[in-house]
Amino acid sequence: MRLLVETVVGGLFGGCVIALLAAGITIVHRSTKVLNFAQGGLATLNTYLYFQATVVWGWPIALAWPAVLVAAGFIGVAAEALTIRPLRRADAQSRTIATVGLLLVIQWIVITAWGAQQRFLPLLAGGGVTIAGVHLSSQNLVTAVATVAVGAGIGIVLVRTRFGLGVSAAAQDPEAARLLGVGPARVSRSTFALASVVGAVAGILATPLLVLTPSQLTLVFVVALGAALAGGFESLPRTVAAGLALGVVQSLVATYAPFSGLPQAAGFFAVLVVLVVVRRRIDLVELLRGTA
Amino acid sequence: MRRALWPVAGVALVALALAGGQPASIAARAAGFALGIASVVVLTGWSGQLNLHVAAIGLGWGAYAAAGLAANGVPSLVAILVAPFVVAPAALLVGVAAVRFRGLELAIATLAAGLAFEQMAFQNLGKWLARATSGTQFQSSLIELARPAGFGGDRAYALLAAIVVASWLAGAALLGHGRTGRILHAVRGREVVAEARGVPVFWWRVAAFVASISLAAAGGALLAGQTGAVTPDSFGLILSLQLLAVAVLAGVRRLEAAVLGAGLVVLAQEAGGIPVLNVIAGDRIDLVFGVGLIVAVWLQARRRFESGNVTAEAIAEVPGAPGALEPRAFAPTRLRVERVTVSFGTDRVLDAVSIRVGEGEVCGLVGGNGAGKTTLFNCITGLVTPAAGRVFFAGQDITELAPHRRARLGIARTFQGVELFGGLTIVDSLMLIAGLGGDHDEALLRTRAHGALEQVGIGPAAAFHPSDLPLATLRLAELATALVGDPSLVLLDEPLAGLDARERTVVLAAIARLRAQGRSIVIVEHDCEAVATIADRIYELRAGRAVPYGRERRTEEARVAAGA
Repeated sequence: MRLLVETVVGGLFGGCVIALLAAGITIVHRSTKVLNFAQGGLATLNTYLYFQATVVWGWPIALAWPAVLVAAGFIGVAAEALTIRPLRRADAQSRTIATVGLLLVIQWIVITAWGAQQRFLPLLAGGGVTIAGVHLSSQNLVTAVATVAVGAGIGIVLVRTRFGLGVSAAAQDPEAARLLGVGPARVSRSTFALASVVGAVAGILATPLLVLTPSQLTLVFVVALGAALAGGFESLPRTVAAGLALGVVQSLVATYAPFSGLPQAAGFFAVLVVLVVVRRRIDLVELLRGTA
Repeated sequence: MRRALWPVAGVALVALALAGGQPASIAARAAGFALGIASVVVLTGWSGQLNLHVAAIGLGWGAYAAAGLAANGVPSLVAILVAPFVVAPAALLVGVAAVRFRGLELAIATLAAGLAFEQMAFQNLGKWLARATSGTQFQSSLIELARPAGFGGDRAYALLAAIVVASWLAGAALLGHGRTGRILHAVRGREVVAEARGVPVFWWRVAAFVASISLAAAGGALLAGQTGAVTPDSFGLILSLQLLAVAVLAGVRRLEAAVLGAGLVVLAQEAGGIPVLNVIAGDRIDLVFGVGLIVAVWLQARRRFESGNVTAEAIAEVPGAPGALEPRAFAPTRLRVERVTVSFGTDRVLDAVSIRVGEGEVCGLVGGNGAGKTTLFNCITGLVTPAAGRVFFAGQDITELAPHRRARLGIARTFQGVELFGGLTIVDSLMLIAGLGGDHDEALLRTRAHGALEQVGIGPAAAFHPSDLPLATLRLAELATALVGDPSLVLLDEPLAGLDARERTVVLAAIARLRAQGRSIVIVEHDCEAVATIADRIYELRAGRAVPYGRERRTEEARVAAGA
């Protein structure tokens, strides 16, 4: 029983990172209709920046965090300017393909600057606490707190501020959003910046427990796609819940079905299951709306 | 220029192969990549689907099939050649599952499935095969694949690769040409239209999947034989993205992209030692392909935007206006809809609707928005299956028949708005539809297509793309598509919408001519007066029921006159 609880709790912590990446995907998709395949790449690049600041240059964490998050914002803006802006007249599908190009470019930047070898990030916080016999590491607790904080922060910005409402409105009706003073270019730019920052948070939190390689976070990104899909690329609460659930599934498989390769593949299998379930639901919705 | 590419590439490949050594191994690798890119062209460029992990579901399958066969005692040569056929059944299964997904969902599905294969199947297959062949518990997922006997040298193997790649590309070229090419184009562009016009879209999409995976598998088997071993990480996600990028870069709609793209890949891999060219070499391959992909998408989007502004002056006159129609005393029934009911959720769109259309009759369906006119059309063409009631055509119960089967029985329809196949010229669209009856004679199909266009008076528009023609001409072209398959029942969905008075006369004249040929016609239209000029009978759909038009209104008027 304790093993089960520990597995589920561990899965929830792992799911935090999936949920953050998925939130980044959803924010961009629902206001621009672009599926940002470079989301994992942006997270990777930002995490390497953090690695550079803390491990190579030896900056204190209190300085490195804000510096990297600000840099991540600018990287998001730059990425948008290079891929999405020139394609503002193209359809969402073309822009989505362009983000695959962006992913390749980021891949090159990372490999050129830091090489393909594995890197390690120190834990943000050592030690931990034991509650009712279940051990919770400080790193995981920090991850959970940060995820909740970021999630709440995004929610407040989107629901409480005029600009956030404009971004949400752009998802429904770009013209109406324009009348609110929120142009599509601004929406696109700021959602990319936000997604890049969220990706940075996810990468920096997750990497101390994994290794840092140019492709690691891109694999997590694919699982996050499943979470974003479960949220219909629309609902942030559903997306985050699905991300946490996927984390738990991965954790359960790793503990109880540790067959060769299965733990690594479990997340991808779960994504396929989500796809089938979502497909069913869409069929049903279309039938009800009379468009089937 | 484009044609010249093939012989040039062929000569280059054979020359590299004959040079032996390093150039020969470059040639063999280029052949493998060419097939990987051809796979992207067939699936994405031609059928409009997306496999984001072609390196795993494609190249990897082929490589592992070849290595697995060889490990089980099959001669290497046979293993490499038959690997793509061995994976075909699996490709069929994947295809049947995958075509249910569209667009982004399909991208996500292939990505997840490909990574799952990479992480699990390839790892374990490798270990299992290594154990089976060497008998040891050596935990490595590397499988060896010896060069085929007689093709051990780099030169001989490269020549073998050249033959394999030429055969597979020739096969792909056959698929993309003529009738099959046009059908794939239709499936990509307007699948609902294609289905309604007699194309079994589902199976064409599956077929494209199988062909695509087999092509990539052939390439993967070649690459495995070239390297002499297969490991799970030789078919990673980045390779997939590179192949996709290079295919888009080199023009994903054309098979030539395979040649150009393979050239680019090999150049980028080998340019390290060459001055000037070495700026694109080594790790920079990601930079080059990434930027290239973005630029290619940008250029394509710009071209599409510009061509959208071109309009041609190609409207034609149809001589004659609808004359007085010969009234038909009694026409045998061709279409009978009996008490058809359709509900979407709790909303009953059609409630026990019955209509009858005789041979050579024009039947009008009028009614407000949402009255169920289009839904009734969809029941007749098979896009919607009714919850209750039957549909009979020429005495046969067709209620359960698939749309494309009904099309072959002789039911044709046009669509609200204009739904010609986007990327095809008008005459190519018509040839595609005409060819579905099973005729393969290009010249005959062309004659029939031109004949249909002449009949509606827009012969000069044949070579234009739909985006370059005015609306009235497109409506007439739609009418022509209904004629070209020689159907006995034609369903017209708002053929007059958006036309001015003169254009209406032209279209009505063309409809009257169809009637004179003995075809039955059902017209959905808002404009009752216009329909009344040519219709033998009119039904009004109201609150889900069909009422013979006029009767109710007369009753109402009578009641008003009586002072009620």
